Amino acid sequence: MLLKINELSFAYNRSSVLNGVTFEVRPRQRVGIIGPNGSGKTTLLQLIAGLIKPTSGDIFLENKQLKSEARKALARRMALVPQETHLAFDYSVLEITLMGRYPHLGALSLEGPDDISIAYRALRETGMEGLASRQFASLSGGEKQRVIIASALAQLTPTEYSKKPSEDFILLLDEPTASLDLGYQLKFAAMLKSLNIRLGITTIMSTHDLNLAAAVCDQLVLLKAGHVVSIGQTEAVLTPANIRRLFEVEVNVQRHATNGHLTIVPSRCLDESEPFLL
Amino acid sequence: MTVKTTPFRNRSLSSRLAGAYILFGGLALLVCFVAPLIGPTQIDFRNVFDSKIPFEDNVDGQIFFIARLPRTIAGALVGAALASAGVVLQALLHNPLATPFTLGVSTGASLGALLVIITGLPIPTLGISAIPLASFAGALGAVSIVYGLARLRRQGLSTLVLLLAGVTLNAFFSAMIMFVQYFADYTQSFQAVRYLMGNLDVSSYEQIVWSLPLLLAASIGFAWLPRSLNLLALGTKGAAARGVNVLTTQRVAFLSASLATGAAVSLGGPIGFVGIIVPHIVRLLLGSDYRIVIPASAFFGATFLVICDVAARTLMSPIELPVGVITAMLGGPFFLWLLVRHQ
Repeated sequence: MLLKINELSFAYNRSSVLNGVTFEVRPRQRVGIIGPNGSGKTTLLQLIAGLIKPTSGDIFLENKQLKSEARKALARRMALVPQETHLAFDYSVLEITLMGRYPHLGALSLEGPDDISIAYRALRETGMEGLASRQFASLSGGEKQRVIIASALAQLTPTEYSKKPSEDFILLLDEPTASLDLGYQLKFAAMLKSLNIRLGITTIMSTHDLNLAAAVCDQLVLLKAGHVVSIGQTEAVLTPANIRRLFEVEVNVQRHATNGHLTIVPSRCLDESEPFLL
Repeated sequence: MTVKTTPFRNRSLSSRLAGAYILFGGLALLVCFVAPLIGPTQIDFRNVFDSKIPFEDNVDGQIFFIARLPRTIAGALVGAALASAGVVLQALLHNPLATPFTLGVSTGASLGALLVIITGLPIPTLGISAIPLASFAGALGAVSIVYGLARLRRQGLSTLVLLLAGVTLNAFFSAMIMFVQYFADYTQSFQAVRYLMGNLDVSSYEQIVWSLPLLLAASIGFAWLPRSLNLLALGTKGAAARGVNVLTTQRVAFLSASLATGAAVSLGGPIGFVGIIVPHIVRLLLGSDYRIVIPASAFFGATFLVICDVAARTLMSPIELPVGVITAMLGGPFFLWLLVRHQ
């Protein structure tokens, strides 16, 4: 078992955000954390990344307590791609990608030729190689997202250039498609799947886009108000009943004629106070 | 700040680093050597270093080593300290408009100095006058208050509280300064105004030597910081997710920048503009990587302030202008020109 989350709870100013969350992640899995706004998805990802401490419960990374791991050691195993990245000062795309090399270098050492090759390879993986010398602020939202993922791949690459990130590494993504248009969403889904299949990187992604989750993830964790509603294979979990519990929306779940993924089509909002017909 | 292209950008980091040290360091050294030769009294630099003339009879040597060199060294140290402190605080606060004086360090220092001027307690302690000591104490007081407030609420260091507390403290100390000044007599008031304008008229080497340990401690912090500061640009969460110990980085940044600012203000008074113009010029030329921006800003800050001080001494000679007026008059328009040129 790569990651084990056991009875995890988190409260912010005494109001509970997560309550007794338990699930396991095996290597090479593509896990989706699904839930409405405010269900605790981002908090869960930040807990897994070790950025905040749980109020109670434990996280184990390969049977070792997460909290006993040093900051830098953890960063060599797990990378987090936040929803959006704004820079206070502008850096080039290559510089941003090289920032992923931070946990592999000492406080005063400079990035060597290996680090630069690793950064270029990561940019190639995300299709951003041609923009290496561009300034980050001049990119579109979708391009920025790819650069941040390249930075995460550089972070998950071992020091030797010959090695690539593999199934022992975890890529955490927080609502990665929230600010992308339809075209970029599809390209993003394809890229993520290919990174997982070719390199084996284990991915855990939070989203409220059910169709994206159905297309990308093989395992889903359904979260509502800090509680786990359902866990399991995508096909088994993505039922009209579960989605009604999660979003209070009546939906049709169909299989897409050409790509075979489940597709979710909303039909009616259950909240009578806001009559809404589709 | 968004800049599309900058020269030297596409070179490798180590060659840009070497270039920054050689170019900016060389420029600073050159300026520090030439500046003491310039002044209302002409001196011949061959006489200055002529070992055949005994020092007591060597007027040129005396002007160079006693009257002008301490002032030049003080200018270089103050300029370097303010410029690098400005860079570090801008990174810490995620704010390109932050200056070394944003967090109340300089108004705290000014209040300390003014209290000594107005209560008339200029008792020299351990060879240096009470004013720099009192201003350093004032700076320390301000730093402790701001830091204490920012640490109160959360487990981390809240940069928002840091910023707000600094701005509030600046306003409060300014009011205190006016209050204290109101009770001053004519001479004291004149002395106070002169102090507040910023002045590098350092009378002895002792004061410089006293500031060195503080500046050295700040430099150690500045040397350790750059890689972590780069990652702070991604936000505290983004930096932490890449392995940065955010709280330690913020602490070292805040304390070393405050130390440098406190030492600089106790040497030269609150000299404005250096701490914001120099970092931005350096960023426009060399990009954002703090491994380059911090040392280059220190060198360029030294160069800039020494040149400004030469202008202050010579422009309206025999009248000496306060150097703070020169930095503002030269720096303001130059900064605006750079902004417009890069649009």
